Amino acid sequence: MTMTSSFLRAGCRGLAAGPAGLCFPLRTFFSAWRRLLRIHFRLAPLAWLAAFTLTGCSSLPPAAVVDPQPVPDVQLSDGQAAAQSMAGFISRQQTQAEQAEKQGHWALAAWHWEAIRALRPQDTTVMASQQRALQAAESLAALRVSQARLALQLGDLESAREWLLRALATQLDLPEAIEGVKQVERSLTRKRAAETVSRHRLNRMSRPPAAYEHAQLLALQGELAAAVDLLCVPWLRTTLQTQLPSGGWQT
Amino acid sequence: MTVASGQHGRSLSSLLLRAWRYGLVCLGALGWATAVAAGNTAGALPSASASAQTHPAPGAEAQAQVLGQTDRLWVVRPAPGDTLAGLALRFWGRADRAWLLAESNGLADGPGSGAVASESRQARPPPLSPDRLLVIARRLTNGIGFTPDGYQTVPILSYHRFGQPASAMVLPPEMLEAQLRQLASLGATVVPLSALADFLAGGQPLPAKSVVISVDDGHESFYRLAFPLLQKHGVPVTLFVPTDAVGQPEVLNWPQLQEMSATGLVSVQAHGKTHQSLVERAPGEDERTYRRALEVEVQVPRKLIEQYLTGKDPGPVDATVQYVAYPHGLANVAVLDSMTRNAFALGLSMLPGGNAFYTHPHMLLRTMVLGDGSLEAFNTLLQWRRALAP
Repeated sequence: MTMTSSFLRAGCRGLAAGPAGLCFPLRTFFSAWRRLLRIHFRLAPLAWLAAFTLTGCSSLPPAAVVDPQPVPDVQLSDGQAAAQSMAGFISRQQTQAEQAEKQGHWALAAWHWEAIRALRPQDTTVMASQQRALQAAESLAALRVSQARLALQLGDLESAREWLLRALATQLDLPEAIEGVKQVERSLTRKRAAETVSRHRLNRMSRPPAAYEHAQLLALQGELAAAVDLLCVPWLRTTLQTQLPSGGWQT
Repeated sequence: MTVASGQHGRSLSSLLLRAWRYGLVCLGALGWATAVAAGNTAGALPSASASAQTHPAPGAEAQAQVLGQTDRLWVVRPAPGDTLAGLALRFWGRADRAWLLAESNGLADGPGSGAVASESRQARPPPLSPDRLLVIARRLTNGIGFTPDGYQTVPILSYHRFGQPASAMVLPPEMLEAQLRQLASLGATVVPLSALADFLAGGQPLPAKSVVISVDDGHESFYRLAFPLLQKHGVPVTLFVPTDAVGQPEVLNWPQLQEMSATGLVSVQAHGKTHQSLVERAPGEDERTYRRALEVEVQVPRKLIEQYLTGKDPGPVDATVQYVAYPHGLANVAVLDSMTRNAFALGLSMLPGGNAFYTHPHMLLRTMVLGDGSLEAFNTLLQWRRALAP
């Protein structure tokens, strides 16, 4: 009995941690099975069959939340129509939750489970599914935030920003990640701005003609051909080529 | 018990029998029993009457019935005649957030909620029905436009002159109108720059396909050719004007700016005093002189625009002039510091792209609309999302 409970707990932990997290609980699961088979070695084929069946069962989403409703060919009463629309809603939410889980979008999955829970507050399976998704979202987000911290310590601002964004993708409401991304972007912007001043100090000219201004704008936009077209004077072409940022501004 | 559960039950009996024979009853029975019990619990569909609870209405505009709720959301059944705006008003106290209700419930495939989309929206009302239950968040948790696979960005389009013939810097008015119609057909919402400022500052959500329109330099062709079209479509626009140029030949004058500003559609903002690049220095200019000249370029336009358009001279915080489009689109650290010191909310560069929630507010990206480009080329400028790296 204890062993069975530990199997189930292992399965739950695996689901909570996402596809990657399934490895450890499954290992625990099968090693326990192997211990059992040393005693009942003659029963190996059936035991493995049962193990696979149980594993499949524990990794499935909660059993069908919605009873399939036959399509009526008669006019429905208001009550029947209401029940049908609710069943349809729950079915859609469950499908979306399951799809989100498959893609590792745990916060989204939790949201869909919660929508079902609002209609069925006593349903412990739905509640467990939501909790599992929330826990998975939290742990994955925490992992990514810690990766971002590591990148920051190494001075790799771009990587830090990417990890924080990925943490937000996992858990949308994460104020520390939102603030963190903004801080990192602030530093990156100042870094780029500092590069701009040095470039322009080297190439100063008096008030430029409008064509030059417009060409500069076009070039900043990446419209180099249009920029050069505007510059019919050869020396302006040369100036443009030496003054423009070399594409390091793009974010 | 459902049909599906019944099948589970028969499988259970069969397995239990065999498991018993082979001495596995303890393990198998408990595992299956737990799994099936979970299925039974989940499978018990409560009747609509049992789960439906009518809560006191947060407002009176919509008659939707609250069927259930948690700490984070309501599930509601719209009543006949309810509108998205009515629901948004009732549950959030803001009818203008109807678009958010539509987007979060997958009803936003049609036109957007902004000015440009208004004609199409009237033609195709959102498909609200008592048969389609809605999920309404009880509090705003995602004002930054994030989804699991990417996040929202808001493009700022930049125009300069209007007229004929078309060139990189000159857009024919008929092309502007075609672009406005294109935005409507794409479901875009043209929002004022102030909405983007709120999005960046406090996570106030914006429709997924939001776009800001800006026009630089204050060329008089804007008043003559573009403004009537923007007014016709009810599109908000931010006009960046170098104040030394106002009233000069081919440039807007103060009465024209006052007239357009009074409509509420045109927000007149700063574009430097002389239109000199803020990052370049005069020959022999030292750091102190450069910074003093920079302060003049940043402060004087705000003062002048405030005086001419509002008749007041408020401090930086209360000023209506809160945005600067950097002349030539460039800024350096000294410019960024000056923007902060003078409490400007936004600074706009000329680097292309969409603005995410984390974009530095003093270095916003702007995408230039070339006057001689096609509508297909215009579509490519509208960067509304950025995907996350896998």
